[in-house]
Amino acid sequence: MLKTLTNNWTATLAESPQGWWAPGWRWFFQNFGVNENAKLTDQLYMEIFWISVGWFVFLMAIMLICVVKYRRRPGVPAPYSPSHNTVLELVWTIIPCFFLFYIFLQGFHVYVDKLVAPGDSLQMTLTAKKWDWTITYPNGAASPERTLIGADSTQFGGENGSPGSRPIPIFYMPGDVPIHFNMISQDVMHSFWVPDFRVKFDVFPNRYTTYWFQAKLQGAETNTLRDSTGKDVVTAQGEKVPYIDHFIFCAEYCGDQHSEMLGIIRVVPMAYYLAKTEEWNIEGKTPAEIGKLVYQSQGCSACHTLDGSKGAAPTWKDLYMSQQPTNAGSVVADDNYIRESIYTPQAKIVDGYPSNMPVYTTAQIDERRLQGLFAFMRSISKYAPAEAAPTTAAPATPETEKK
Amino acid sequence: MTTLDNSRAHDFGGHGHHEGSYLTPKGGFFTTVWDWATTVDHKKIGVMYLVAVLFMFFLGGLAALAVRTELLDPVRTVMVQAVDAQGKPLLDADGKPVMKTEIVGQTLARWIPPKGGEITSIDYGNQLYNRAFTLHGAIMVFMVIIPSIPASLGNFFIPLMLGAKDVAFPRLNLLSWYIYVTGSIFAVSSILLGGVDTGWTFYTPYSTTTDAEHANVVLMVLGAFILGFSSILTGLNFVVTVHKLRAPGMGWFDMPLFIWAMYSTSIIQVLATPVIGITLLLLVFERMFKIGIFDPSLGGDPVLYQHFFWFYSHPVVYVMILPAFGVISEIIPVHSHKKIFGYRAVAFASLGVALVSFLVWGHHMFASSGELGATVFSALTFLVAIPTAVKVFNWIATLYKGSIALTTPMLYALMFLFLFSIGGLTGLPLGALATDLHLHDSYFVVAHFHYVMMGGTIITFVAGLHHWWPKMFGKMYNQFWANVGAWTVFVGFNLTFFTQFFLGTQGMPRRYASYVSEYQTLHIWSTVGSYVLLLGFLIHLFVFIHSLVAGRKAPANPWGGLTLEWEAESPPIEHNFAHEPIVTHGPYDYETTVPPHWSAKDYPLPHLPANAH
Repeated sequence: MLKTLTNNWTATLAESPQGWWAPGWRWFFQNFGVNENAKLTDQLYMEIFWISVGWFVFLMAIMLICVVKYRRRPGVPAPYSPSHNTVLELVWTIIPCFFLFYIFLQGFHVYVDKLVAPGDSLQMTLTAKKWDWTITYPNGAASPERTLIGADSTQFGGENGSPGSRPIPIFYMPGDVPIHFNMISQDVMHSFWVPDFRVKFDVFPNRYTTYWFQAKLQGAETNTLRDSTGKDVVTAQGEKVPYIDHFIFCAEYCGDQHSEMLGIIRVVPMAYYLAKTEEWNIEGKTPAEIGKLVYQSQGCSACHTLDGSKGAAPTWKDLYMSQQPTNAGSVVADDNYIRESIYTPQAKIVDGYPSNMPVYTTAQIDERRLQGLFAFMRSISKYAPAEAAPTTAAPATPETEKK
Repeated sequence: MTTLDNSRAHDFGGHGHHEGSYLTPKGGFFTTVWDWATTVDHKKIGVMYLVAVLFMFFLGGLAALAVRTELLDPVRTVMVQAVDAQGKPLLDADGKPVMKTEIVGQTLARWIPPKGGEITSIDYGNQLYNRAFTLHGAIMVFMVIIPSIPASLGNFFIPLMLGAKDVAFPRLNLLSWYIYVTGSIFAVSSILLGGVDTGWTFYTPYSTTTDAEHANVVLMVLGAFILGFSSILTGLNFVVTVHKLRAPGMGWFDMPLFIWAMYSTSIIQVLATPVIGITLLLLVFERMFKIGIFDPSLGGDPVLYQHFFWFYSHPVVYVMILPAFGVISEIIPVHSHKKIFGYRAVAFASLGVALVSFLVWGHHMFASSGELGATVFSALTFLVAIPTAVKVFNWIATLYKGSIALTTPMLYALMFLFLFSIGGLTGLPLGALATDLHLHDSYFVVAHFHYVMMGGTIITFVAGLHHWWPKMFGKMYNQFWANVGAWTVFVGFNLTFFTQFFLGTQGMPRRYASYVSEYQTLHIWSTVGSYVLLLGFLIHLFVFIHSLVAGRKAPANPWGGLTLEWEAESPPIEHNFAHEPIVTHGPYDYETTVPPHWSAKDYPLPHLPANAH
């Protein structure tokens, strides 16, 4: 399944680049016109490219002509020629300065557009940790949806996909409106990069950085949403949902699963975005449902499995109220122990696992969500006291949920 | 300084023409080994550096091939044959083997059992990859590229080109070699003990919190710290040598441009290396004693580390490339028998680059710094482009009306102009803020710095080695096969790294053990290119071995060079020159001077116009 250089693998070519710089654009980029800043970046890149090609061909041509024309002939000395010419040397010092100044100015101009978000942007919070992203929507909800990289239910699926071993999060974002992230890391440095938006910015553990984008949906070439069984997703009004996926890559080396720290920005119509975030809102849900949403949206699922298989951290199946061997002796995994493991994870490490658990704050997982986690873990543990089991054996699964 | 003057007055001359080559063994095997191990002869130390650097280049190259091979395939999971508890293959009803998916780490764990035996998760495959690229980066930067030209060719040829008997501080020179070996042993033992996964940049807080074995990270960082001292001492030695040991008649502007480049390099080494020394030591303290300089959970600032690190590591980029400029400035005039165009411009461009190099470190942090800092650093970065471009123009102008021989060193010099121009021009979209926010930490950066570091420095190192090989070892090599090697390296290099520009613009991040499969085609081309590159270097290795064993004896001045090293014998005698050379012509006066050891019949001088100076 080899892909050609020009394979349009994200299939979001909304429009074609226009201008003297446009030829050859296809060699370097996969899509155009995701937003205004991406267009300007491509234009600047291609301008620099053609300026460079001009200089390069000019210099190499002179070099090759000299090598051929002035090749050594036995017994023939190199003819005299001046080895210094002030005017020539000044000219070739000054002319590149104009090119460099132009490139600097253009770079600065688009950079400012990339950094300064419009005042009416939707405000969201992005947290990064080894090795997962979480985005908190304005209503406090977070996306619990995940997919395997290359799964058929994403735009990158089917022929184009390679199966991943670990699910990556999908973040629904409304199209055609500016969105602004406040970004913070829970452990080491990460870097939030959406190649389609042509912007990345580092995420630090000790100060906030920001990121903004606006993704085009109207007038773009789109697919329509399907669930994991391949059936069309329809809204309450019976309409199909157009969407475009953009990959998120972590671009600052952060350890073992750096290359698995992916995500998908899924651009959908505003109405669908509002419906999804409302669905994930914890208001009106049972504690176990809240717990499951937290498990899916806060990245717990990256390391803790639910089916008893061994991940990078202990499985949650039959964990609640079980005996766990730790470096501080055997403990019972009760509410207090679980609470401690979330807020001060280094306190006790279960034998056989690295101390990889990131620190959560009470702002990220508040008391209500924490109680939800207890309820959720209780529902999947055989050690849980019978009377504490919820009346509905398993929490209700949201309609669009995937595995 | 009197001792230096005395040594010049007494040691030249007297026992001149009876003295043997510096390579002549001093007696039996052990006597000879002891003689080399305790030598203060800059030529022997240069050769010892050469051997050490080439060995490390081999290790770093192996790591690179491991990295490239891993990237042949994007998959995170592989299909394997299922086995039962006894290890026998499971067969289905039709007698066909049953296949199952497993994580790459599990497959690798069967071949290379992990320490502790527990981890067979996805982490394990990634851990091996992360260690391989860290080793490749750390070895190639700290143990190969930085010492390559200065410590081996510089050590050997700076005194010869200055007409001196040795460097200013010969014992210090030997000490630097032992420090280099000690630092390398630290780094290699860190590899043998399991390796580190921090990346060669050791960014905090990852490097202070990684679960790679504590001792390994400390060992590797200390290794780099120790290597810094070798660098500082060598730089100091060269600065003093250039100031004090020039032959009579050699003014500053009569020096070969290689000396100018090495002088600029040495200044950067002396000024910038202490900063990395302090930074790495702080990192070790942070890792061992949890002080809280860089670790945010203790109140430190991780970006501070980046500032410290790049304040050294950016100037060091010029420590790597300036010596290459120097070598090219020698090879092009010698092999085209033409005076270098704009001598002073080339000399001052070296100093200009050295100066500006201290002011551009922030361009490694456009994606992490504030707007004002990024803008200032972007502007300063474009400033570096000017002296660099001037040099390229001067080299190409030197070819005009020359007498160009396509010898192996000249072929490599022309390839350098090709590769370095690509490397330099692809720096433009990285210096421009808007495009850098996209390209930073992508394969575009990987391709760019390989074009500059490898296409610039390593290619030039090999060029210089071919240029001076007859002088160093007194043997010629097979030009035809050396040229075949050069073309193979050229093709392999471009195949490996040109593809990576496209990977970068399309969004492939650096340091990824696995990737989305859309990038696979380009990765395959790149990996094939790396194998071609290996083939090219192997050809060179055989050409050199053949030369040492069966090469014909080299004349004292095979290419017709005018700088002083060509006046010496090939290989030079122990004290370099039988008589102290007196400089009577400029280093590149090809229009007025018959090269030493050449006759006027072999080298007819051109007719000079009346207004020529």
